[in-house]
Amino acid sequence: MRVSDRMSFSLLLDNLSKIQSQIFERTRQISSGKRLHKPSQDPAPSARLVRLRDELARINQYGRNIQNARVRLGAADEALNSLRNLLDVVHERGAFGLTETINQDQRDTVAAEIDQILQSVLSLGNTRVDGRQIFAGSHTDTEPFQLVAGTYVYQGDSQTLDVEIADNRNVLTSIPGDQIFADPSADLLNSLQGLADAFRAGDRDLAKNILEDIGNAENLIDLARVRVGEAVRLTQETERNHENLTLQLVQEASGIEDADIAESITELTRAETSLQATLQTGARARVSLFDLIG
Amino acid sequence: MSGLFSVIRNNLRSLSNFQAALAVINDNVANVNTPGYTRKRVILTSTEPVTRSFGQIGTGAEISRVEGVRDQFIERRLILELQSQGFFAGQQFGLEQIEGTVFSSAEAGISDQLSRFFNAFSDLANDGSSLPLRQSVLSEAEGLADQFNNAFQSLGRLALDNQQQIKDTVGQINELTQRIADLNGEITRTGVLGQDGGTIEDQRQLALNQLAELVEFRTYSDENGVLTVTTTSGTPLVLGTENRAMSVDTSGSGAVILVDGRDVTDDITGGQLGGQLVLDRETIPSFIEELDVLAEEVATQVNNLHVTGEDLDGNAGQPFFSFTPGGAAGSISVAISDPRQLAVRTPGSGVGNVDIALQLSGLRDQRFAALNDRTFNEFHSDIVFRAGLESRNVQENLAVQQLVLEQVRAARDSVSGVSLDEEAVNLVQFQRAYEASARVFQVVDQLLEETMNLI
Repeated sequence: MRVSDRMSFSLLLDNLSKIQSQIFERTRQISSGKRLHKPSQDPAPSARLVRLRDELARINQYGRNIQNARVRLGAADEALNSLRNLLDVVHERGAFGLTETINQDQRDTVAAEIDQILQSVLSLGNTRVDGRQIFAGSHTDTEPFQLVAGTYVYQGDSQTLDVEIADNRNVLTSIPGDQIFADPSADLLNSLQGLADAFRAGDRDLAKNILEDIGNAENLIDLARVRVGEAVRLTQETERNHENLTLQLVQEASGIEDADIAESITELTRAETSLQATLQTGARARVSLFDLIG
Repeated sequence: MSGLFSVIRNNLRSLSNFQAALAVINDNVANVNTPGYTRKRVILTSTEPVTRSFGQIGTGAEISRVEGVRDQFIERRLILELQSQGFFAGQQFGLEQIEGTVFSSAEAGISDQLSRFFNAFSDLANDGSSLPLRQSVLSEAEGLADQFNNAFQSLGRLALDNQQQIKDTVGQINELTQRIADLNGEITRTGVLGQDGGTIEDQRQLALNQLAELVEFRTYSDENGVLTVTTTSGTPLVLGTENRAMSVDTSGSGAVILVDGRDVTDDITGGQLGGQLVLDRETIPSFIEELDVLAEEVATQVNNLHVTGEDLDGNAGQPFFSFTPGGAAGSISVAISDPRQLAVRTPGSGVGNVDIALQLSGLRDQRFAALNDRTFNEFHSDIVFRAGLESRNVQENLAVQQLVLEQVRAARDSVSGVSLDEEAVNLVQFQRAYEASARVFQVVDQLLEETMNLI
C-alpha cells in the first residue's frame, strides 16, 4: 500500500483522540465513583436502576411506617396490659366487696377504690401518642370516653387505622376503643361506675352481676392484645424481609452504577502508558529521503 | 548541420519539461498538509518523430498534461460515508441532552420525585391530621410538577436550539452550493477540465465533501466538467453557475426545508441536516409526548381519588393537580395550596382516617391502560431505556462510521495524498534528467564549436 505523509499524521491524531477520551472516561469514573452517567452507556440496566431506586425509596418509607406503627402498637399494648392488671385488682377488690362478713364502711372503701380504678381505666382509654388518641377510631383529635349526663359515652368510631408496611400490605396501628371499652356486651366504664354504685348501695347481687360483665370485658381485652401482638409480629417479619431485600437491591444497584475503582485505575494507567507511547512515536522526527539528498 | 541545431531545440524543450516537472514536485511538497489536495503528476509523451531515408528519429518529449491523481470510486465512497457520519453526528448531541433530561444519575430525576411524591402519601397515612406531613405532600407534589415542567422546558429549549442549528446548517449548505456554483463558473471559463492540473477541481471536491457532511445529494457532471447538484429527488441545489438557496420555515410544528418555495424536507434523509431534522420532527416530539402522557396520567389518577376524599375542614376534595390535557408535562401544577385542603379521609370519618392517602400511595403499584399497562415508575424507566438505547445506537453507528471514514480517507490519501519520499525520488530523477540534458547541450555546443573551427 502506498503511504502518503498525511495518512501517518491522521492516524496519529485519530489514535490520540481515542486515548484521550478513554482517559477522560476513566478519570470521571474514579472521581465520581460511578460507572453509569447516562443511560446510553447501558440502556437496560439504567432502566432497571430507575426501578431499583423506586423500590429502595419505597422500602425506606415502609421502614418509617413500621417504626411509627410500632410506637403506636407498643403504646396500645402497654395500655391494654395496664388495663388487664387493673381489672385483676377490680376482681380482687370486687370479691372482697362481695364478702358477707364486711360492713358497709368497708364496702364504701371498695367503692372508692373502684372509683379510682375507673379514673385510671378512663385515662387509659383516652391514651394519646404524639397528641393523637389511639382508642378513638378515626377521631384521633377527640377524647373517646367522655361523661355525658352521668354516663360514659364513646365519642370515636369503629375504624381501625392502617399504614403501609409493604407493597399491598397494610397493618393496623390502632384498635377502636368501642371494641374494648364500650362493647354492648361489656361496657367497661359504665360497668365500673355501676359496680362502685352497687357497693355503695350495698347491693351485692347487682355487684355480682356487674363483675361477671367485667369478665366479658377481659375477653375483649385479651382479644385486642392478640390483634396488637399479631400486628407487631407482622411488622417485625416484614422488617426482616425489607432488610434482606434492601441488601439485595443495594448490591444490584451498586453493580449497575458503581465504578470498579481498581479496574478503572488499571485501565487509566494503561491508557496513559499508551498515550505516552503514541506521543513519543509522533514526536520522533520521521526519516525522510530529503534528509539524504542534495 | 541542421541535425545539431534540431538537437539543441529538442534539448531546450527537455529542459523546460524537466523544469515544469520540478515545479509540480515543488507544488506537491508545498501541499503535503493541504486538506483535499490531490497530488499532481506530469504526463510526458514522446513528440512526433521525423522520418528520414533510413528511418525515424525521435524529437524528444513534451508535457501532454498535468493530472491530479484521484480515484473517482473512492471519492464517491467518501461522500456517501460523510453523509452517513453527518446523519449520526447531527443527532448525537441532541440525544445526549434528552438522556440527561429523562435520567438523573444523582437520584434527582422524575422517577425519584415520583417515588418521593407517593411515599409522602404513605407517610401521611401515619398521621392524617399532621400539618407538617400534609405540607410535605404538597412540597413533594410541587417538586414533581417542577420536574415535569423542567423536563418539558429543557426538551423545548433543545428543540429551539436544534432548530437554530438547522438554520446554521442550511446557511453553511448555501455557502457551499454557492462556492460549487462559482467553481463551476471557473471551470467553464478556463475551458477544458484539468487544464490547471485539477486545482479548481480539488477545491470543488473539497466543497462537495464538506457539503456531504451536511446533507445528502446527487451529482451529475456534463462533458465540460460542470457539476449539477440536486437533492435526492432531483430538486436542483447547484445548476451550472447558479445555486438554489435552501431556506427554513420554523413557523409550524416542525422545521420545513424549502428550495425555491418547494418543500424538500422529505428528501433530506442524510447528513447533519438529516439528523437534525429527525431530532426536530420525530425524536424530541416523541419524548415530549411520552412525558405528557405520564404527567397527565399521574395528575388524572391522583385527581380522581382526591375528589372522593374530605379535607381537614370537612369539605369535599378538590382536584389536586391542574393541567392542560394533551400538554400536561409543561402545564402540570399543584392546584391546592393549603395543607388543610388535602382530602385524604373518607367523607364523614374522623381526622385520623387516611383511607384516601393509602389509596393514593397505592397508585404507584397500579398499572394503567394509558401507560401501556405499566406503572408510573415502569413507564418512566421505559422512557429512560428508549432514550439510552437511541442515544447508544447513534453513538455506536457514529463510532463505526468514524472507523469506516478513517479507512476511506486512508484509501483516498493512499491514492491522492503526497508522499515526501516519493517526491524526493522524483526530484532526484528529474534533477538527474535535467543534468543529463544540460550535458547533451554542452556536448552539442562543443561539436558546433569544433565545426565552426573547421571554417
